Amino acid sequence: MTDKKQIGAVLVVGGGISGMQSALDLAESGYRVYLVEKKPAIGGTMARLDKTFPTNDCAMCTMSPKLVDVGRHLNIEIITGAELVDLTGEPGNFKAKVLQQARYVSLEKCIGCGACAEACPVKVDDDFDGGLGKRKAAYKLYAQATPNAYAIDKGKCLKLKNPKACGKCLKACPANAIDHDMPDNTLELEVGAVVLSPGFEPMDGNLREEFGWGRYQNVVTSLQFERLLSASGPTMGHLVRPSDHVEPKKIAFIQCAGSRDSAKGNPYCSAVCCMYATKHAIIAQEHEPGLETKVFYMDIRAYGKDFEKYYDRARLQHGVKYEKAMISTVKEDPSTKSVIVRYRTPDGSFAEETFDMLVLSVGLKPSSGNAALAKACDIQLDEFGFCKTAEFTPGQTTREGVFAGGAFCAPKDIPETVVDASAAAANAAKFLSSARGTLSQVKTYPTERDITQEDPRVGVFVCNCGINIGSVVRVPEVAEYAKSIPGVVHTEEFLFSCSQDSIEKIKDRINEHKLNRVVVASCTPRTHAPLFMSSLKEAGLNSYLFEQANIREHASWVHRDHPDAATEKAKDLVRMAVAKVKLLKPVYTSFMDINRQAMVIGGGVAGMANALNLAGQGFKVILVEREDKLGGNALEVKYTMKGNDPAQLVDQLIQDVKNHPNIDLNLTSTVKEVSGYLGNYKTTLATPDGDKKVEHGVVIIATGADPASTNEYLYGQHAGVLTQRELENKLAGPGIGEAQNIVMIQCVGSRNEERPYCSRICCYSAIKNALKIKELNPAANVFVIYRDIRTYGFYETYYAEARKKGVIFVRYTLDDKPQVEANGDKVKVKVKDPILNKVLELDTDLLVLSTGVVPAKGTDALSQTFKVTLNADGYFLEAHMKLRPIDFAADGLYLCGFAHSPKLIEESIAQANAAAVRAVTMLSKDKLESLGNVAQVNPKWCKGCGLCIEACAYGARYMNELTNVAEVLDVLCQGCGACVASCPSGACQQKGFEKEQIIAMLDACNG
Amino acid sequence: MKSYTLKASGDTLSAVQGFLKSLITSGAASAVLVPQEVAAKTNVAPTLIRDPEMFGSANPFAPVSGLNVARLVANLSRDLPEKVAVVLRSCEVRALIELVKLQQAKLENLLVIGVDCAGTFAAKDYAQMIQQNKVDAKKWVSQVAADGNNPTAVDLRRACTVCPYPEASQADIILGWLGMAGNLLVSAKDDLDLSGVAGLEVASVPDTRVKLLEKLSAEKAQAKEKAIAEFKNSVGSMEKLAEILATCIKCQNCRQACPICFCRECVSAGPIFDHTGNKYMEYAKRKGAIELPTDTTLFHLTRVNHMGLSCVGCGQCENACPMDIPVGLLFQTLSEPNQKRFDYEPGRSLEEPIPITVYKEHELEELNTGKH
Repeated sequence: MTDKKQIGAVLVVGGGISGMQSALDLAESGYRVYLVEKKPAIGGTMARLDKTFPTNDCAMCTMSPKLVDVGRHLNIEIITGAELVDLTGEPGNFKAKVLQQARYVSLEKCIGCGACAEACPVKVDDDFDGGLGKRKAAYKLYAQATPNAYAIDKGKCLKLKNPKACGKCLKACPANAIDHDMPDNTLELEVGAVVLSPGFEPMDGNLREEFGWGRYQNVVTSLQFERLLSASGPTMGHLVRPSDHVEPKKIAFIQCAGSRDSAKGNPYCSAVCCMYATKHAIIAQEHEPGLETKVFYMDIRAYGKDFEKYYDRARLQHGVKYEKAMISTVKEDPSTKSVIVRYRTPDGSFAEETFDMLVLSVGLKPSSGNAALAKACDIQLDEFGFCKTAEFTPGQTTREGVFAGGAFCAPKDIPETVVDASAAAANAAKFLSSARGTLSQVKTYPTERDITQEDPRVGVFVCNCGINIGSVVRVPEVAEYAKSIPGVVHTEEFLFSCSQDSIEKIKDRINEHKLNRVVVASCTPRTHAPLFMSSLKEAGLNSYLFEQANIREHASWVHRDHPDAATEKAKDLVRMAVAKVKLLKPVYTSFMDINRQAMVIGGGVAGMANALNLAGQGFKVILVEREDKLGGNALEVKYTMKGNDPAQLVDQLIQDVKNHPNIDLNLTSTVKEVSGYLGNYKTTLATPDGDKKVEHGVVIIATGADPASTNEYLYGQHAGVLTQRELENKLAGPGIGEAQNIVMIQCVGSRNEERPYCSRICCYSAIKNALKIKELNPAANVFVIYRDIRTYGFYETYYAEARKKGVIFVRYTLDDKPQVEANGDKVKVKVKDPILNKVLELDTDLLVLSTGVVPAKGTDALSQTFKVTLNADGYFLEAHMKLRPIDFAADGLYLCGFAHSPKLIEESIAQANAAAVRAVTMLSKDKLESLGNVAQVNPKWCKGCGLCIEACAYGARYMNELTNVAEVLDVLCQGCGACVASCPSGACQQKGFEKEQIIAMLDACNG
Repeated sequence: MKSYTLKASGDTLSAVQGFLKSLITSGAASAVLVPQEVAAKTNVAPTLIRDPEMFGSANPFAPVSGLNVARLVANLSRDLPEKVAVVLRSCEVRALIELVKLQQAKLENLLVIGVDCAGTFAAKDYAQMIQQNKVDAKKWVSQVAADGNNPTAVDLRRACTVCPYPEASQADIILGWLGMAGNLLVSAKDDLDLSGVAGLEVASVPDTRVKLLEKLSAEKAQAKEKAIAEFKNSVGSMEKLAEILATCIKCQNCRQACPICFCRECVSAGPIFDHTGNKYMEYAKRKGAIELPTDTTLFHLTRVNHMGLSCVGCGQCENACPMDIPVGLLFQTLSEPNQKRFDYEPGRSLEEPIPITVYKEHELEELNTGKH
């Protein structure tokens, strides 16, 4: 690095869930972020999904708060329709050239009303719906798009082709936002680092031509199916066949459509299709009770956290059928347009079955723009066209200062994408730590007017939302009615309340009429309340003196055919809002100092990587390890599949940890006692030198997991039976001697009733060790007896290699487990080969058992110490399986490595870095600020029963032992109201939702 | 549990008085809280006795219950400097356990002694019976021990007729007389040291007792189901419920008598329900006519909502009602399905958390079909 000054800004390329996460983490850690997105809106693939596995959460519902956060973040600038075309300069001080295509709609002026699309005469196949639906040439990418603005499709617009033509949108636009002469724009951005997250593209439906996609109407890709299930999709969530719009009764799914197929150039496994197909089958059944579903597969790869349970649920609870089969042909019945699937079953016979619909579980391929992007920023791609990274430095591209996140590096699911995105942010933040805070901005507001002595003076602003409200609800009548409500001194009607000029008008009226309460009757507060509240703040009024009546979703949209009733309901809603707003009080956030040290529990690879990232970002770290040495489970991994040496990695990490001035290392130490909370933990460690008291602001749990043992298959009774880990030790050390026949049994003690989860790493380890045996002794016979081979992602290529080298794979089921008996110093293994349909008898020198992984000893106790929950399998449970995979529900506590769930070293490192940046988003703040509408307690009424403490998921309620009153920690309170509901004494109230206010609304509603 | 018999030779009352006295003299407790007969013998009052010579009027068997003592024990238990033995019936022990979970009582310095109960009379009935010589507190045990049946012609409190808990099985020490043929059973938790207490002989629990307890428990559980089913039928609609509550004067006696209701002030007495003329007129306008006081149904439903899961069915609310509204039955009817839903039996165990404090991601699936 040169002595040139570092720039405290980061360019994030790609605005999918990965780019959004990186942007948020960086912006919250003190950097300015430019978020460049090729499409007219951010959101990426996740915006197109209906539900997500394994929780069946609605994708949009979980993602839209993030969209809002990114859209409103002061330090994130979203640049849409743009691509990075050149990156010059040097790490820490780059010049990025970004080419932004003209949108032809002014973002400043567009109010998202949709009048242009309504007027536009050009219909286009909607890519967003996989071509199943239509959109106009003037369009918004999807309903909740951020930025919430329309764009004009350059290639399709009539006026852009011929300036004299059409122009209907120009006339229709009430905001004068359309400009067909808008030029393309080249931006020069100065940034210190770059995070690349361009995501992936689904493979083409016709990659496997023989499956009939594009020829048979009722054959769709999984992404098209996703859109058919989605309420915002082409059929509004009505599941029907494309050919006749009739509900299907029987659907088939074909897995690996394009993946695991070297003939098609995609030898890798796409890592997510087994689970999304399972989700599709479950959700489709919810749409269509009685629907039959069948999944044709090669191996079911339910390897992630809680995935196996989801797969079980699909089979056992929902009756989804899974058929291991090779598809031989797909035909269409010309009369019914149904699809006839002919397939070969494991026993070699052929079967034929007719389905109403066929869904191809298409894989993930690199984005088509990857080559150009790689060229623009001078980085290398791998053999498949994904970003090239090294095993032990995940997320680091081949160019310093340029990082990568999400499916740009490999096919992966949402949680891993989010982890990678945070990890990339962590790498960038560490790289630029000297420039932290130099370019981030803070907004200032005028001094607040004291209104506490004033009688309520309410202003009511009623919105037409273009025609969204105005075409159903008689808005002038509602505005007129509002004037008659006592306390209302001003009412006004807007075409669009959220447009810039309306916002200015609201501010003017507050001052003109000395308004001290504001009601906006428009749309949902979920998206728009922050905007209106900040306009109050800009006019010198406390922003909480605001109430929004939702007369769009709750009146005009749902009562479209009943304008009279809708108008009356709108009046009711306004009356209720006024009744409440009159009782609202100014709300002030509170602030708390934060201790900027972190405590990391666990000194394995995850804990060390995490500590080093935090230390590298300039924060002090207390690292606690219960053993007398660092390294954890990685010490037992002798080599990786990719051929790297974990010992080297571990040695380097240990050396770095020991030498880092910011790390206080405590070996042979455990956490004895913890008090405090986010920002102010006081912990007692039990160390060899006695108790040691430490103070810290956050906690990272990286306590790992333990190898499982077994008493099955003669383990512990016969010298020839060993675990996969013991075999690896031998292979790396003394070798396995004369052993010529080696049999491995997978899923020993896993994926059964006692331990229902998949340990994820065993298939990897078995194939790694099988290859090693073959390398040492090509003549050795290696049999792997398995249930499903789960070499997800690029590891599929090693599975292929193992088969090529003669490793023999024999499948078994839980009902028909292999039988093992001692035979002198050999072991006899009997297993039924389903292909040959006969029992194989294998006389083996070594029987190797893949026994999997179990939660670490002490996990339970630690979970109680920190009041965090475990999942049913005994691993720590994150705040949200999809979008908050490394946070605990309570702020200030984070999670990484095996403690989260079994995973590979590279995945642990990524998660460790990710946990670091999540912690930094707290540690880099000057002070912690609470939300506004937090819970409060009236000490006079509290009897100290503690129900609220138990009800609080965020650790925000605690008992004051002196007064016996359950108090509120404002900065931890998330305003959910659970404690208020649990309090029988009425001592708890939530600001902005006080009982008096709610009852005033109810009375106004009835009155 | 270790079991002993306390030889009583027919005079169980003297024997139990002696036992309680020796708790103090042996140093097992510094004082005893026990019902003591008032001078006129027409009632008992919970009495905290420190002087071992003052157990002469103590009578934990007198079949009268005017209040659930758990609430008093809760107050006593806070900042309690020395060990105190408290003699309670099953409904009182179970209420105490709920109060401990609700952090209103502490067990540290309490020695909980549970005494068998075959049912009690309401205070005013009992007083009359005493005056008319229809009951004798001294003879009660000998009359009832064999079969647990009410020997008088006067009804027990309704709650007692449907109480399936004749034994206070969660106590530290159980004083059993049902099925003991004139003797007293003393069962103590294993970690309790009763070596200093006089007259105890190691013995096992006699079969007669085990059988009788099972029988009483089964019969009353059945009676409870029947009572609940009948009541449910009679309050099938909001209108019928309002009808039953129509005479409620919102005196809050029921809440005052409830051992579980621990709030300093009931929300129903707070500002939310403190209406002014404006409101009354508004309500009257909306409905045409309103009964006063208002919010009586809401008051009872709110109470069920807050405390239903912890309701031990002691029935004191019902005895306290001046309008004879069957509030206890109403409470049991509304609470029982909820308690069953969470497999929660209030007072059964300290280890079982109150369901409202337990969060499970997947529960009550029948209410959450995932359909919008």
